[in-house]
Amino acid sequence: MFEKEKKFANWTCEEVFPSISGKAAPLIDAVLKKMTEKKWAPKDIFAVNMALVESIANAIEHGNQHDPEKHVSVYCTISEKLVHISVKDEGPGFVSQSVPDPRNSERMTCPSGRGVFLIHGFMSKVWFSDSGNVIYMEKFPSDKKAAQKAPA
Amino acid sequence: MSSPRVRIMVRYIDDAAVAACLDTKLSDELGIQAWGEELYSLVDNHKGRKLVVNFQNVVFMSSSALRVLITLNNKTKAKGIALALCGINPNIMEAFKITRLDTLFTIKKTEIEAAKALK
Repeated sequence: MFEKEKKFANWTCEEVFPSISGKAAPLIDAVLKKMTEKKWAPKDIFAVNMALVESIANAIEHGNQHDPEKHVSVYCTISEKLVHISVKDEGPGFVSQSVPDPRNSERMTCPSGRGVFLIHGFMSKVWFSDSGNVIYMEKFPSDKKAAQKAPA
Repeated sequence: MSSPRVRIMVRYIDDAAVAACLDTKLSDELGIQAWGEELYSLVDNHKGRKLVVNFQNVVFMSSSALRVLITLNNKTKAKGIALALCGINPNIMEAFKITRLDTLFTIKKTEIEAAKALK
């Protein structure tokens, strides 16, 4: 592969780890490092960091109920124009619309339930599998000019 | 045996206790739990009526850290302590805006402004 092609090739990673808090830290660090290398803006790197932390935490806590025998699978592709992430757990799945809105005034002082809203707020596109145990997330560059300079 | 890692540093501006977060990333569950325990302990032992939490060193904060802050807010209210936050970077501020927590907390740029804002 030519150096130029290498520079703009998609970077892909796939990892499966047990439902133990902190196990995904090296994977998250690798994704953020690759985004930095591909010249993503710091605010977009922050957004993907948030999406990874929250989706993996939800998979461990709500999907796999902290059962270390159950696993979380993360798949990630990064190019100059798109970050695509999917996170799968071994739980029964859930209906995302059933999560109460923590922004309602009566729920504002309730400590939990904000992870999914942060993912929706920071990522460009978010959707779930029909089974409800896989979340798909995509991020486009917030700086459109930088994205136009990168090859397809 | 090594002593447990300290996660906040407390000093006083007039009658306000100012707790500066020493961690740069608040994303590890156990670390957040330890950080929360230090803040709750500060509230339990605080004799004054004002508390400022300074996030100047913090570059990332997950929803678990927000959960600690909401619990802290509930605890301070129950004890009659006024709470303000400061030093929040723009990316983290976006998380407050998305969840509308910017409407729940008094948020200022600096410790001095935060301490002054508390009555």
